[in-house]
Amino acid sequence: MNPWPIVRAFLVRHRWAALAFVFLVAAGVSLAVALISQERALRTGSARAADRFDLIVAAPGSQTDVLLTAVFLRPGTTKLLPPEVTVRLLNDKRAAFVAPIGFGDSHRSAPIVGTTSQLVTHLSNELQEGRVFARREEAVVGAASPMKVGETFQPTHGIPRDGNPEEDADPHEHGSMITVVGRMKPTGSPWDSAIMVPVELVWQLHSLPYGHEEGSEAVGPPFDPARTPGVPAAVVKPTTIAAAYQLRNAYTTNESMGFFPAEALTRLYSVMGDLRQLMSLLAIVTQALVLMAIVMGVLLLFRFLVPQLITLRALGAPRLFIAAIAWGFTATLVLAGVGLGLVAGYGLSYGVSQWLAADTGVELTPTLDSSEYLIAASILATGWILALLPAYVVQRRSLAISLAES
Amino acid sequence: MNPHDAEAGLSVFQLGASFCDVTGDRFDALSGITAQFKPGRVTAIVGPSGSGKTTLLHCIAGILVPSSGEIRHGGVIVSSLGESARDTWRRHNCGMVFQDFRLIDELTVLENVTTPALFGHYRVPSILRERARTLIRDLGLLERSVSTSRLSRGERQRVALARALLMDPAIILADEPTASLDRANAASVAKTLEGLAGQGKAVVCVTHDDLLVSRAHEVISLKAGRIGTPAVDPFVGLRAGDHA
Ligand SMILES: Nc1ncnc2c1ncn2[C@@H]1O[C@H](COP(=O)(O)OP(=O)(O)OP(=O)(O)O)[C@@H](O)[C@H]1O
Ligand SMILES: [Mg+2]
Repeated sequence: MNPWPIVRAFLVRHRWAALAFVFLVAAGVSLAVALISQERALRTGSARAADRFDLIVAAPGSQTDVLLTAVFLRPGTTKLLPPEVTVRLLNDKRAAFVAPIGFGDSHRSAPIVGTTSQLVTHLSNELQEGRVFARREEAVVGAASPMKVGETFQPTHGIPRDGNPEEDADPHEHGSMITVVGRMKPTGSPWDSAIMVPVELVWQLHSLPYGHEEGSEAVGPPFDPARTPGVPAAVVKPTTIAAAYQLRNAYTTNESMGFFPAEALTRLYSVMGDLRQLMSLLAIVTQALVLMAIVMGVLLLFRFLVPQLITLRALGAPRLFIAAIAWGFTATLVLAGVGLGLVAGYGLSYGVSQWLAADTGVELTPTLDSSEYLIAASILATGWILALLPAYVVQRRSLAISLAES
Repeated sequence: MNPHDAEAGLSVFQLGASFCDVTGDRFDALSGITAQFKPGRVTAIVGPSGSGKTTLLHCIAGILVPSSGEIRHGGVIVSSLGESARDTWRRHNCGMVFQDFRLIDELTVLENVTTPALFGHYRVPSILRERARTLIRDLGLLERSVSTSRLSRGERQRVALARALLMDPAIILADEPTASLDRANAASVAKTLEGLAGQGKAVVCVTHDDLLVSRAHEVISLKAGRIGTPAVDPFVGLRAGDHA
């Protein structure tokens, strides 16, 4: 007893209806899979991007805003730390290094970040090419930057918002020519497309005191307490875990706030917990839709098949054979739909990741994990169990009645 | 009725079949049918449309359950078997040709003919596949790998006959097997059925076809669900192998 030749013939003959059914199931499965996979990709991607930013100190306000500006390089209005706090922070001995971050310029829509060579080395974990900047007119580019080592450019004032430089009130080029001297390794963060320059250059371009004596060409710490402006944020690399907590507490005052990006992200995710719940709800709704589609589809498809199944019984086919055909038909369709849905779901998640990565610079690597497989498996299992129902019904009916009706 | 005869072949005794319509009224499609269908003989069932010929054939096959009387085959009282047991009995003993053929149009000619082989085997044994090919050829058909819905009515009818014969059943129940055929093909089908009877099968045909009737050993004439004129065989004793 082997129902497959007949199941296959039914599938081939009713291929358009069967395909429509498979696509319906696949659409539902892929949506659920993509939602879950994408949510995880976002979480791990942003965590990876923030991974090397141990402690951030900024002016009091929203940690999320600072996180978005300092780590994800989204233009925003951040208040500056007062100069005296900045100086104290930049020269704090409890840290392995403290790197100020300054913004305000761009080149061909790539943000120019003023900082120190220590942060560049730390983020990149050794450079991919060239060396770190040693003079004010030198720059290191991110791994994904189109600029080559040796290339020169003139920074433009203002940061394009959403890639639209026109929005800045007064875009103009600063006078100085900057040379690219090194390239970072990929970090999976928006820093990959940014241009890093000594923070002194940013200060100088904006006519601020530039942290060193008048006429000094020095870059990097130590900074002259009398000649250091306030910065929007600084990245602190503490020497020990204990030092990390000490530093955070020390700079959590009326004038400044210290926070661990990893912690802020976790808090953000917990705020987004509602979103996640919404996503799970959506996933459940899609599952329910898929199952409804399965039931409807099965009922429709069975309209085609019932007369043939009755014929088979009239020829003496065992009832189990009839049930096996009916079940095998639906089960094959559900299997195909779920399989296709997994592949399409991954594809969808991949596409969304690419798009988001291009938009935010955060590298997102979507994966299929146990929860996606579990959802797919649960839809498959439910589909296979539901398929037993019509199979049971067709084999149970009285042949005399069925034959009279068909 | 001679009990020995009943043991030997297929017989129906005081058979009645009725249908209920929507208002719950009973309609007797058959009543008091007693007949024997002996191995080695062709029985023709004739009668006007609506006289219960198909109903009788379906009762014999165990598809319909008679409302009274009994159907025996060998030592088995078919009419008192359960539905699954009747399916099994039919699978092992009957080859059916339905009035509307009931081919499975998703399948090709060969696949249709070999379908009954799938009921008991994981795949169609090559010996049965060969037998199917021979049957197709002998009935004047081509083994085309197209859906049977593409075939002409007469071709479909012969595919149905080939399918009924595949498993070499002891009883052949054919509902108007020559209705859609030209004289030559009808004659060839009649000859085939005769040949099967010659091999010891009980052949029962519902037919309007004079040719088939003239070749039958027995003729049962139905009228409004009852046996009308006595089932006389006009050719008794004229045929070779007729021991009646
Ligand atoms: N399932 C059913 N429900 C109700 N009435 C039925 C059913 N099947 C058959 N009948 C009735 O039983 C009677 C006999 O039908 P049957 O099909 O046996 O006739 P037939 O002799 O084969 O006719 P034909 O030569 O037209 O095929 C008819 O009056 C028919 O309407
Ligand atoms: Mg009929």
